[in-house]
Amino acid sequence: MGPTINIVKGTIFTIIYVCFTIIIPVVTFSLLRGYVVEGLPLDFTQEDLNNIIFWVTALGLVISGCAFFTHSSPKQSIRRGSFALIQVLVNCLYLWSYKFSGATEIIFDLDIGDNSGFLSLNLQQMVLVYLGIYFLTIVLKVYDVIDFTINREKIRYDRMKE
Amino acid sequence: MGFLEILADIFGAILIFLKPIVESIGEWMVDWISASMEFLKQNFSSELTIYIVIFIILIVSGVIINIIWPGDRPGTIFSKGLDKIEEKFEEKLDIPNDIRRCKDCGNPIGDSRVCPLCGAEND
Repeated sequence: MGPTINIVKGTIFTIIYVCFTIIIPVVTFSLLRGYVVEGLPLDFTQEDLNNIIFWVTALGLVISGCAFFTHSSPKQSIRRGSFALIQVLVNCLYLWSYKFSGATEIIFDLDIGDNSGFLSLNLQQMVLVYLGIYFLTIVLKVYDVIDFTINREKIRYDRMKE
Repeated sequence: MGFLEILADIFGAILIFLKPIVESIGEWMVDWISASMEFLKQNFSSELTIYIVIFIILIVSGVIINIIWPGDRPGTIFSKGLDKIEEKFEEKLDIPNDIRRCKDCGNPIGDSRVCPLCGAEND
């Protein structure tokens, strides 16, 4: 594949990652700000919202940049493997930033007549399970980098032959 | 439904069996991610500029590297440039070397017998 096709591929994936890691979460959190469930407003402060939006945007930008580099690189190249690994690592931080921003703990304040209280929904365990699965992805990416490095000459030969 | 229950039981058994390993992996993941996030929060949580710069650097360097090393053949931009320079150089070399020059001063004299510069006679 020529450089133009590589760059087009990278651009398409960057757009997809920008949508999924920045635009959709930011829009969702912004909508969630004023969302009311059955008359019960979500306990979601402006500070939380700003915190979430900052980290989602910041890490989303890094992920999208890495995605461009990864998907515009030739198949089985060392640079593709390396940036795929970096992307997965940044993705871990991205997922964890939800926890720090308080988005994994949603608190519903209940005030019904004379009775009042709160309902807390903790999604931290779900994030931890997801990170556990992600560890396997990290292992696979490390394996890919080692594989691409060891078999560099053969991969290059096969690629040139195509 | 029965099949799904069996499947859930199998997955549950696998998870219980792997629990000691999975938990330690999870703790390790949490440790390094927490440390990294803490570092980022302390040093790079004030403005987005640094992340925008990283994004732009990644895109620009990705484009440049792809142009130079597309992967399926040797680099294009430099080799093309080199080819053009070589072509021009070859064109320059096509200038005939059999121009007659003055014996005394080396000035090109063409077909004339007397050098227009120094006046020396060339046979």
